[in-house]
Amino acid sequence: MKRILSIALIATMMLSLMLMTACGGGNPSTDAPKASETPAPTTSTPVESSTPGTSDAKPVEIRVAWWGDTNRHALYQQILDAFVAKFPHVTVVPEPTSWTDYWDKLQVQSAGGNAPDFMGMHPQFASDYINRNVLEPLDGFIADGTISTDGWTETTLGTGRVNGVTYMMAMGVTFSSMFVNEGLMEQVGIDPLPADWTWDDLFTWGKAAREKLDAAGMKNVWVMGDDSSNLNSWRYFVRNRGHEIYTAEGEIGFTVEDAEIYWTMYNELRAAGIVPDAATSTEYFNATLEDSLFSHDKVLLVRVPVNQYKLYCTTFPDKKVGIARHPQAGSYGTEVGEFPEGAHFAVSATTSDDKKLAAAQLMNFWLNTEDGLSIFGLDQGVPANLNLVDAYAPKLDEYQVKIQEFVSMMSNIGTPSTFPVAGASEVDATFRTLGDEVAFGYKEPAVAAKELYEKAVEIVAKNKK
Amino acid sequence: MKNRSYNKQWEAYVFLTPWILGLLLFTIIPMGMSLYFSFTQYDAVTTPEWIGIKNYLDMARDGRVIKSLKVTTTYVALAIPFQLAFALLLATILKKNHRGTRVYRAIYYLPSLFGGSVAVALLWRQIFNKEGIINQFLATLGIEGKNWIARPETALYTLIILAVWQFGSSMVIFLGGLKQISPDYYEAADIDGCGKIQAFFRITLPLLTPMVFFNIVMTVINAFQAFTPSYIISQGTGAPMDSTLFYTLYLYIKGFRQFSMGYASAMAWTLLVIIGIITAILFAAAEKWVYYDD
Repeated sequence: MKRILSIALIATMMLSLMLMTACGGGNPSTDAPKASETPAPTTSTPVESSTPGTSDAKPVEIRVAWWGDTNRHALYQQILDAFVAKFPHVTVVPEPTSWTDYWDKLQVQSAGGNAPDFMGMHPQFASDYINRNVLEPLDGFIADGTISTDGWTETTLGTGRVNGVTYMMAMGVTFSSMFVNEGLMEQVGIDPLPADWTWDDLFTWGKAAREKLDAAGMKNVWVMGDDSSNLNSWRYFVRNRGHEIYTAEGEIGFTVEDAEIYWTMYNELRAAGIVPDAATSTEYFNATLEDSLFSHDKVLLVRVPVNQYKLYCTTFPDKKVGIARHPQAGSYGTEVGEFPEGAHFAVSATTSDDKKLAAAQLMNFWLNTEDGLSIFGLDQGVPANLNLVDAYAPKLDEYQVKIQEFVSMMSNIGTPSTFPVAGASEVDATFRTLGDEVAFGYKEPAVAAKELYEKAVEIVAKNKK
Repeated sequence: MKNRSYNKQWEAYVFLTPWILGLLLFTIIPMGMSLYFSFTQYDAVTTPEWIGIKNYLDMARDGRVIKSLKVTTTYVALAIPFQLAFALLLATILKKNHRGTRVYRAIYYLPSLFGGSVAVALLWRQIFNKEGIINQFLATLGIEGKNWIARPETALYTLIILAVWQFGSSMVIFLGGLKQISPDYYEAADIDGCGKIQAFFRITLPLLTPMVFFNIVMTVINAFQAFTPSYIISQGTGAPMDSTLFYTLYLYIKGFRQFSMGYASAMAWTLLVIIGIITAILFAAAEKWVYYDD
């Protein structure tokens, strides 16, 4: 019995460990493929084609991946259906995923040399994939007219270029904004936000709002979500102070002082009860929209890319939601924080030429045709192709009109930013952990700032091959 | 005769082929590759570059590796004794065939089935957050509770409670062991005037030591590799402040989020060695206290 028991034990241990080392452990890798299995491929047979010129093309199947929620999945499926109707030789296999799973999955797929033929890409992660030759340069397709750039501004095209090579095309242009819980503010009797407000206003106006909330007995409601560990907010702040997180040369561009001032400011905001305590912020970090602080009426202001305005308004029909700009520099700096943001589309470099072509055709259909844009609308911000506004403009509802107005306004104010470098995700993780340590009072802002800078420099150096 | 036995072996290998192929393809070869990668700088996409033992040296001065080892060790050291004690207690209660015992056995096994699911993560938040069930109960006693799941001092302990709650499989093994103990022993002890508690410590526990040992080794190995609870409850970050950063979660972050598959492989092999050493110690110690009835 003893012998059998020992053998069984050793075998179990070895087996379970092998699984660990072989797959890097765990459920996400087994969960991931589910998303790709569920949706049925969109197919159409070449015979049914009525489009001349494409009917005799060789059949090709492409995998199309994006991130998002169920509403978006349904919307994009419509675009794919419309594309297949026009390009009947193409079969499209959709692979929708949630935002977090998307990046885990894409890395594993890239490692196996089977990244999706057509994929969503984000500047935040782009360097990691470009440096590893996962993304196909699109300049060839632009030159031969497969992907049109008519109606695109140089600025928007530039958001997809790295070292002069176009790797991605912007899905749309968006800006970070603050969504204002106006209904709750009216209920408690809080004054509207000052026009063109600054970080200084956040203190004065925020303290007044705090008093009103306390008077109404709303101890567990705060003025604004805590962004002390939020990468984009931090990036805006660094830009306010005339720097960038990464310089154009790919080095660290922020200073120790930038980080120290940023975290000190948030400590003050937290002490004043303007942003929630660290534990509350942690609890709601990454919460779903339906379960967020904003959803539970626990904050007045929350930082969101403006293209999600419709999503917020339709998810919370009982709330009155307004849009405001992100706080401006005030006494903390002199520069504009906002820069044009937005997700992009890219084509896999590791797939076959006919699939690359089909993926490029899909990209052009999606971003540069009336058929595509009339469905896509403002889902990812204002479409980059300014010639085709008429394709979607008449269909815009009241929410989308507000999104468009905000983006148009900010397009004249925002200034271009630099590209996050390879290793950026490790820098981000370090920033978040240190931000939490400051928020929970385990580290002084000065100490954490110095540590952040030193680690960031080390990470960036390590990732330069 | 000799020829025939050779033939028989040959047949055996033919029937074993699928299994052997599986072992080679999905276990031995990937393991060998991960050992090789652990000596390289490898981002999982481009060609690995040989760097010797640099990954292992870097690990020694990586604060997050050390932090994650501390977190994992605390988790193992606290979760296992409580889990096993709880499993043994319930197994003892559920041993006798009362009415409905089978239903209870099934119910108590349930938590082990949906162990690390997203639903459990949500449930855990509902129990341990600021307005959770625990704090509502504390409020009736006039105590203001904390946000247990989101504070760095307490977050790990909620995961330990989650592990203890999943005592089902250990309980089933204990139940099996308890049923094997002959009632004659208890009868004899009863005649000699032995009490219930004495009988438990003098008869039940010694005869159950092989099961206790098996459960300890299994749960230790599993607990060192625990990944899902932390991944789900901290949304894959180890938050707050890395207080729930299990070793395997950090390994995953390195390999799959930060393009450091070589480093992650080195971490995996280090974990193998750690678990190997601890298991060896457990086996050596077992000579002293495990009683085999053969």
